[in-house]
Amino acid sequence: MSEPGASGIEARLKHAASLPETLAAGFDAFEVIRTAARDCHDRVPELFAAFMTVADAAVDGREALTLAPSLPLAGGVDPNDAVSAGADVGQVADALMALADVLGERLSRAAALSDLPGDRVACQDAAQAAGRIRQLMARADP
Amino acid sequence: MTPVFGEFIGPAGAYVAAAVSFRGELPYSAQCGVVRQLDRLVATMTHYLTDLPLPDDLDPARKPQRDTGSRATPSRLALDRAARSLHPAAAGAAEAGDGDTHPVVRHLATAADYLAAGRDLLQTHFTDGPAGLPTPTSYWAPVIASAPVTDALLSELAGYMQNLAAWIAKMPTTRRVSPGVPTSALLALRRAEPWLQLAAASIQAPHRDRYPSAGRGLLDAIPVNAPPPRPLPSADESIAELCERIPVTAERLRHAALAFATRARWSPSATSLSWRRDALASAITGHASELVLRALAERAGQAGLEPAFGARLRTAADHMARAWTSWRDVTGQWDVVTTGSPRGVGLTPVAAEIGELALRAGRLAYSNPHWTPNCGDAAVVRDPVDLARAEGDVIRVLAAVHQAADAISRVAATDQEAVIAAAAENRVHCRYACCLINTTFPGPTRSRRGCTPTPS
Repeated sequence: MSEPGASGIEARLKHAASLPETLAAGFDAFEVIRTAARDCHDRVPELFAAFMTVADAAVDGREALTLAPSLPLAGGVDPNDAVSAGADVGQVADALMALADVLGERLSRAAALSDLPGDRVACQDAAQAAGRIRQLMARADP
Repeated sequence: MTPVFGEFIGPAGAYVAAAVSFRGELPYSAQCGVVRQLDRLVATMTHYLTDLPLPDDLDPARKPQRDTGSRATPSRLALDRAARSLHPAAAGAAEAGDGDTHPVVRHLATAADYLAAGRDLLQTHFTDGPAGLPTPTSYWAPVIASAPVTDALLSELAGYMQNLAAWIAKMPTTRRVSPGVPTSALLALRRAEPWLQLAAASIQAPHRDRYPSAGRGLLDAIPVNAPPPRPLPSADESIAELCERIPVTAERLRHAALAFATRARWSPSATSLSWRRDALASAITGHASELVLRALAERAGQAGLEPAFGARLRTAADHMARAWTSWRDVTGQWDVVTTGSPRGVGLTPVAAEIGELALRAGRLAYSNPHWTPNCGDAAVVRDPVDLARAEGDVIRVLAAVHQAADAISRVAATDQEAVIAAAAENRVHCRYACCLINTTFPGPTRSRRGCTPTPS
């Protein structure tokens, strides 16, 4: 099944060749998640708390990365990175879970390879936030 | 269970009543004991009367409507005169402890203990301010200083004074004097009696029983100003347990919010992270509460309760919907507004615990007893019959929702003050205003990590 809209930012994460690129892509990935969660929280009452909490965790992750000394100052989210607003809420949840999975894995790897303690701690904290997002978006087994 | 004032004032009155029911002749040693314990009682009642007018000073606007101070003053002077009669005799009789085992002395001693403990409980709601004025330290402080409650307390104390004075007046005049011991005890009691009578009369005369029941009920319900033990969420909390624990969590949050407010300006944990957590939990709690209120309204109709009751529940649900949508919008603002995110500063006590209120509210609203915000724990809304099987359950669940909403409003008030203070000190910034997608937050173009102070 294709995951609507998440592939652009996922590709950026996967193809990031340096720590600054990973940090920038990570920052933008958290923004994609936050925006998608904000778009979805009113669509299904039973998932209101889930999407609200995901948005909050995404802000945590993004805030953590702003403390990384190697985060590039310039840049921003490409509109093509956004998760499709028209997608089914369940598909969005799956897409965000998949994106959080990649995000957590890339940030954990970046933390392990960081020379600067500030970068390492920022990546570790942001990876934790990605882990929370993944847990929040994981749906029950059918 | 949190101790409440009624657990002290009730027994105090009962022991005074038990003491004054004694009609026999007291041996001299017991007379000495009575003097000692009455001296303690009078001193404690004087302290109560001394405390009473002080809360009024906090609210000068209410002074013209109140006469508690003027009622307490002559009574306090009269008690002071009674104490002058009793205290020297009590000091002189301190060595003669033989009479302490007499039932009358034991009753008076226990009454004095309860009364002193009750006063200590009331005092937990105030602290000394910079100029020596009492400063409220709880949301109950205005209740304690309110006219109905102070009147109820004065009436209670006046009743003690009246009963004790009448009992002394009826004491047999014959004395048994031990050889070599001064006969001061009964004389001291006799001298104190008219002053006790006057103290009671000066309280009771103007407005006796002005607020008989409501004030007394509130007086009895005043809790000690200390947070109750934290009930950690556990699996399979029943609806009854949720309804019991939500008010406890709410009380802890109210307590924590007020306690932290005094140090919010300098505490490192007073950051946007904590305020964002509070807003998130408030939004989730409010959302769940709306669902609960609508289910209760449906249940009220099914159970044949008053139609007006159901209509009020629906109105409450509408108000709750407006509240949580506002909280949702507040969380959206915290997406782009920040105080910065220093690592390791932790959360405020409220932010650290408010998630438990959201968790329990969710478990009350949804059919999954293990509900969490996780998608995997999502569930349909509870069936109204499941939520409130009996008529009394409707009230219990409603009370829990009320407590949750009240706690949130208290947290909101303290957070708002803290945020305004932080903004005034230029600690609140709009981050990332240009590079966020889909944000309508206004702000000049900035680099990703730049910050723009928000307008105060």
